[in-house]
Amino acid sequence: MQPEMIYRLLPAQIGRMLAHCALDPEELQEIRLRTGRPVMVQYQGREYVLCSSGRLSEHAVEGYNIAEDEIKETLEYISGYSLYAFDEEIRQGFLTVSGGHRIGLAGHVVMEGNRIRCIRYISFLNIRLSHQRKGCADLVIPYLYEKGELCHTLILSPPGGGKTTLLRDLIRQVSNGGSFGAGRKVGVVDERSELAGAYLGVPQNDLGIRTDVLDGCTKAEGMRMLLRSMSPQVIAVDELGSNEDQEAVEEVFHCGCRLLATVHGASLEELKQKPQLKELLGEGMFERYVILSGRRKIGEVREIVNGQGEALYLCDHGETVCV
Amino acid sequence: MRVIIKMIGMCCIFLSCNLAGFGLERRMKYRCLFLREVKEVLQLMENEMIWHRTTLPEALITVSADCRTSLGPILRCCAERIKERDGQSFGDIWHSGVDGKIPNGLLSAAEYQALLDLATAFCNTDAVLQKTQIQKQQQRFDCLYERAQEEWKEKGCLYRRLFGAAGLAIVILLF
Repeated sequence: MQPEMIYRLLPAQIGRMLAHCALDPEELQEIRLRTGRPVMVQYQGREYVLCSSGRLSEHAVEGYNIAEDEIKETLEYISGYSLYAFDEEIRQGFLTVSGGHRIGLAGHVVMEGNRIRCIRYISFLNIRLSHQRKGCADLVIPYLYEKGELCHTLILSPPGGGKTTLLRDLIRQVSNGGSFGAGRKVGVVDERSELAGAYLGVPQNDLGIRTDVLDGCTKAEGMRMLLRSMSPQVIAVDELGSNEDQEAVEEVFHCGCRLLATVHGASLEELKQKPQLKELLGEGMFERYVILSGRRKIGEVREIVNGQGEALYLCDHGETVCV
Repeated sequence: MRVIIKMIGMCCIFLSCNLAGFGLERRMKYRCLFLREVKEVLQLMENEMIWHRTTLPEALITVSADCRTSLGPILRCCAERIKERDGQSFGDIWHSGVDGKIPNGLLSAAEYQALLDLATAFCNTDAVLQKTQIQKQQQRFDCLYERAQEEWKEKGCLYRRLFGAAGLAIVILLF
């Protein structure tokens, strides 16, 4: 990732300060801008403030406080001076920029009945940098194939645990094929533009040569559209949760398509308490569960379990136990 | 021979005075055209931005294609500067785009300021306020155009005739 692409989205002074810090772009996770507050950076899993001298510090008092004008300037740059053209994205609370990076927005929400009309006086920005970690699914993928066929797989982890990054690489590898199996046609429903990081419809992340992406579409509707028109062999979705998602997932299962999905949760037991997924889990639709460690060690696979609950892979306190 | 030279001289003086009068009237007419074009551009930009959601550089280029006055080059110049992404705010880009492209003395101070204020209508971090700004600027330029048109109708013909008369008077005085 080229850090200059990110720094150009920021006011010149802040961009210079960050450039001066000479950060490793692969370790930079977030840049947070809050009007009148220090610029904060999530780097190597830790939080720092950006100092005007062009270094990172753990002491908030040393941080450079961003002004309202600079927030407006940032909004102009990230929207290409065309914030009005991103009405729908602003209603969702985020913009995706070139490179697949997602910028969360917060401010004064204008409601129209129960519907969000727009967000005004945007004063808080969260620039979440997209990192594609090619190869992070290498460990997992052999466990997801049985007799040459991809199993219906559910990836679990608490928020920020690395589910989306893992799913992204799984999609790429399944699409391209490899020693584990032939390449498959994959349909991706990317509701929040996190998987493909599509910018103006073009995926910024590599999702493989046989992958079609429905960007910005709700999961339930997207899965149905893909089944109707794109003849996928595999469907991938991120963060299942609602009742509509459950119904659409059942349709996918009954169409002979394989499913790769993620869900928030620390364990299978916790997942079974969720009313929306109880039925799906109870019917034994999923054949593989990949459980991640969570924020403790982002991206670490703690356990891989089959549909019957038997552990196929276990990682216990850093010690790998292959079953 | 002397008479011929005198005649030619008289014609030149009379013609140049008339041309000066025509020039002044034409300048007033161009001012009206310019202000009317700004009005039309605001309407077109509103369609492009609010209804079609075209990004600002594309909207500026699309709309500039229909421009007949020096507004067209201003819009195109701003579109190019936006694409360069050299870290300037749109206000600065617009101001530097306008600067030097309007003939000297064409617009009054109020009209020039109104032109500069279009920056907040074309680019605003508050989408709700932006719609209001566009409508406000449309009304403002409506008034400016009507005033300029009245001025042209009242004074345009008068200036042409005055200069013509002045030319005649100079010819009579000299010869």
